[in-house]
Amino acid sequence: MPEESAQTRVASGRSSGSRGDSSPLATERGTTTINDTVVTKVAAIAARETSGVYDLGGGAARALGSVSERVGVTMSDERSRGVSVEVGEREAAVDLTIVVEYGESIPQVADAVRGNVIKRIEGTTGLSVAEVNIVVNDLHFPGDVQTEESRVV
Amino acid sequence: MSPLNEAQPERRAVPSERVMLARVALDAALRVTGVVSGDAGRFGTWVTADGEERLPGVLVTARAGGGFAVELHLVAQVVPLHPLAERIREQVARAAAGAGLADVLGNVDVTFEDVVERAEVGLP
Repeated sequence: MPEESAQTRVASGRSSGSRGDSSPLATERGTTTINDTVVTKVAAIAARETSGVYDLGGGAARALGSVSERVGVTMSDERSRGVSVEVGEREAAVDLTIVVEYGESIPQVADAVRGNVIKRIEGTTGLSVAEVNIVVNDLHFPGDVQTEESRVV
Repeated sequence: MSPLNEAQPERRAVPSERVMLARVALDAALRVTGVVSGDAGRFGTWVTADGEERLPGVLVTARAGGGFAVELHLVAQVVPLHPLAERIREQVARAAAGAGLADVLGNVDVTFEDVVERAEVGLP
């Protein structure tokens, strides 16, 4: 069944959930499929709205986004840069690259981001979030852009 | 030999059951709060065509056992999507019944292709 194969793409090494459970997304009257784009966008929105997060994405992605913005071209996935998701039948795993405001506690910001991303994805899609991996790629200084050494929290 | 204009096939005045069901299903889905639009897909494959008219985001296909399966490909607001899908199914079932198409309505599969924030669609 095509839907089944499309819905069970969870990477090896990551939990794929209990197969015996019935999915809330499959009902007698039809199935509900949530595109990866949706999960990606919800994760991006949740991360951006968390206090202490300045931006999403790595240096190259943000530089490219900045250039495209200046020339008046908006890339379709501009708002979702720095977010990568793997979506399974019942679970999702999220990888985020974020830029944190200088002075904020990185562990606290990371925890807040993780909590908000889980809350928003689970609330919106009904998927359970197995993990949220966060890379703090840069720090933002007000009025300045300075590259700091990357660090995984 | 008949003149060229007489050789043109006449457009059907009454659409097929399949097209009627597609129109009813899409209209019903778009009336549900939280649904923004239908999504025809990058290659425009998620459409039902009736002559010149295109219904983007709905695909209705005949089932082997009779009746039709409905696929809806939608863009929604950032709201709980599972309850939204249920409301869409209920609305489609009601609309199909109202149009006398309840007997041919099979499963209604809903795919959320994208979400948009309220501000993106001009809502406060």
